Amino acid sequence: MERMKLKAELRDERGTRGAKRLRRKGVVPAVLYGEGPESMAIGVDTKDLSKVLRGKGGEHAIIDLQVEKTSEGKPLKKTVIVKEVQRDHIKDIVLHVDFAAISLTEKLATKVAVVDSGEAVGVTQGGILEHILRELNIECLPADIPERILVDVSGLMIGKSIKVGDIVSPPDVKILNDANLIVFTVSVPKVEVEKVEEVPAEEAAAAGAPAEGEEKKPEEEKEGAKGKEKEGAKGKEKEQQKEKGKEK
Amino acid sequence: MVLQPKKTKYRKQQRGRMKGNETRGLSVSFGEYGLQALASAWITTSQIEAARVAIMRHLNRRGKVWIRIFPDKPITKKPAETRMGKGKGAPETWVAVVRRGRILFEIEGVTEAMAQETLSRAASKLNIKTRFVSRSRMI
Repeated sequence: MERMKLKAELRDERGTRGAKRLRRKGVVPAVLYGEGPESMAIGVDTKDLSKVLRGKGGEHAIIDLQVEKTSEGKPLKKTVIVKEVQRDHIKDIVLHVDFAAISLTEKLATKVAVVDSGEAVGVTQGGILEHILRELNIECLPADIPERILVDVSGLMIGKSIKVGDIVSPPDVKILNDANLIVFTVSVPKVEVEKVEEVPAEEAAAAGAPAEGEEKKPEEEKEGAKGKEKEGAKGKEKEQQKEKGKEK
Repeated sequence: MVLQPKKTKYRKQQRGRMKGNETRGLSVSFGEYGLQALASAWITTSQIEAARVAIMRHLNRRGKVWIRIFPDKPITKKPAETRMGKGKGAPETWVAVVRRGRILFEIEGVTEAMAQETLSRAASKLNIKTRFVSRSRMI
């Protein structure tokens, strides 16, 4: 993996208010620790940090960090990895970064992105490619850390999956995840049956005419006729009662 | 598919307040693209359902969808033309309490343009401002 360069300055300002002042100046508060006697509070330029994090390795890149002036007055160079990034998910800014100094001769455990290549056969047949495990835990020398691990999914059929054990890791890289974990799978899309809203009986009766394609059965027609006759009889009775009332 | 709890310990709840930003469910965790709330509000079960239907209709069996919120708060309402008093009203609906920053829906298995269009249709069914976010977004 290509190594990125990043400049940092020793940070005097501490605490919430100090950190906010730094962020307003375009500096991201950070801390450097590991492979040394003490941790060091530093600050890095927001734009430079953005370039590093957007670079090829992303958050798993190896960085040559250069602190311009330490407390002893000497410049300091360290090979570091990003251990943690704190983000404000609403403002979309980086709040704080943890840099961990590493030794280039010792193996380290880190994470690397898994990316699919090719179009799965199952997808062309109407399936959905599900990317379940997006990062793999690996162990290797810092110089051997791959930018990403490409997995060929072109032969994946519907209902089939690629597990961690199926992935061919680059040379000198050991995958630490359980071999049975599923990384990619092609699933069948769920078919949703939409319910047709039931029209209440009264509304249906008010609508009157039958829907297209429907024919009234003879029995229903007969019943309907009987109902009409009954209604007619009732109406006549009412009229007669009204007339009687007027006469009175 | 009405979203509501299967069983609750108490039938009615106090209204509560929605101060500050969300602290959980802030990042796209399952899919590739998501819809993030930019305001705090109660989102009702019918609004969630309307948004889900809008997504499903536009996706047309492509892609996979995750709903990241669940309406677990009962809302009561007094009947119309009722005098004040005589106790709290009857449970009317269920809402999800959403604060600023919460990821509401996630999508996977479609192109970014398609996801954007789909989630904008879902956003139009909701009562808050939202924005489209992707997993790969950085500073």
